[in-house]
Amino acid sequence: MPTGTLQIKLISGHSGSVPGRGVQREEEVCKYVDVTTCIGCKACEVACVEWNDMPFGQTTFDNTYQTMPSTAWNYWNLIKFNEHHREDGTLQWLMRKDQCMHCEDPGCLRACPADGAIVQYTNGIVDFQQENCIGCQYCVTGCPFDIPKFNGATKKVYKCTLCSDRVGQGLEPACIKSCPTGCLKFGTKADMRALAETRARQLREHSGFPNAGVYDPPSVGGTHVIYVLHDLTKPELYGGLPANPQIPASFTVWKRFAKPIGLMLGLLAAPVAFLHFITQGPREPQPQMPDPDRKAGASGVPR
Amino acid sequence: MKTELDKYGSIDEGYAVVCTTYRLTEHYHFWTKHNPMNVQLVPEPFIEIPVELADELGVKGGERLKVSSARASYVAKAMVTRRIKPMLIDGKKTYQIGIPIHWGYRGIAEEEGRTALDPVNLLSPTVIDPNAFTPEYKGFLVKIERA
Repeated sequence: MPTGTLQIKLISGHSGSVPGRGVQREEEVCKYVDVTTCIGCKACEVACVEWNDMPFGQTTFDNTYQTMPSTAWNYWNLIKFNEHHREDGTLQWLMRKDQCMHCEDPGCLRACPADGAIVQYTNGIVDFQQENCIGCQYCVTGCPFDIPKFNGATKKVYKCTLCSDRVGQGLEPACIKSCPTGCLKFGTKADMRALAETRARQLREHSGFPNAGVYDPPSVGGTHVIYVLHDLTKPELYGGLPANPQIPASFTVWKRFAKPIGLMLGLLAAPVAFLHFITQGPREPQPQMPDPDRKAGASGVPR
Repeated sequence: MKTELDKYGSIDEGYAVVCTTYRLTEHYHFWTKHNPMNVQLVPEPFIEIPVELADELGVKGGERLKVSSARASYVAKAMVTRRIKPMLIDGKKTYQIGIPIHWGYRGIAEEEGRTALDPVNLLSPTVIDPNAFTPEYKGFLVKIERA
């Protein structure tokens, strides 16, 4: 993808430093999603499929307005619908745009063993580089939001790129451009965060949503997609948004401790072999034992 | 001149459910039924009915329903929802159902045989404002049964 102007900050499965890291400072970008003004028109879904040139699939009726149960390898952006019964007997029809959250501490990148299959740009976008993907699907298990999706035909994993090709050229992502209500906005993280806080305060003070707040989970270092929710205490209502997203502990144990120790043991084999050579000397040639069976067999062959 | 489409049902004849029609935000009138992306967003037509009415009929979401007015009938899958609540009108519990327009005659889903070929607007009455000729299609009486 033409992401020429984007600087890379982190590379998956890469030993050594990241080339060009810190050469250029860049503002962190952020997608702002105000679920309180979303009308569920799915224009962003169409824009995503169209811009990324993904094939159309067939869907089935499932007693809901939601296009499909979850995002797919060729469907990176999905509005999740939920009819929520409030305690006062009223009903809230909740809609949330589900896509990659572009975590500051990306679980997919941490889980990925393939050098350069997942990169994080200086502006915060986490992007998959399919040409380096080995199809192991570790990223699928590493993601706390269930976003990377495997394509069995190409044996690669795909997800939302936050339109890194557009952002690299100074455009906003396709979904943002298509939104008719203005519930989607795009800008720097600081600006979007301020805008979201203002909107949440408005909801708390003037619109009767005392628990309104901004979803920007610190457990993954913050995200580059933030939500304004009516009720920040129950993010699960919005199509299963985790309250406290966590990268599985096994990845930390495996990558931070087990892998370096294992590599160290492997490297230790060379000095140990050398030590053995010094103390024991080289391997001597073993005397050849005569093989009675072979002799008998050889003499039995008629001339 | 009166035709088959100029009849009106009454509650006494069994047309006891209030029906309304509407468009969905995904669609543009009837045009978008020829666009594969819009067909992917909403694969087939449906009839939105309140949970209470679904319980009375013994219908679950996804099962087929037949809605008949005095003029025509329409068959589609049921979408059971709490968004449409029963109304109390003159002390009587009255159900409302909703059917999105968009499908009918020709289109991608129609030609694949996934929908009825009749449009929903055959159900609705031809009632027109005498001055502006603006049609009033949005409220009429129907019968509802399993199909």
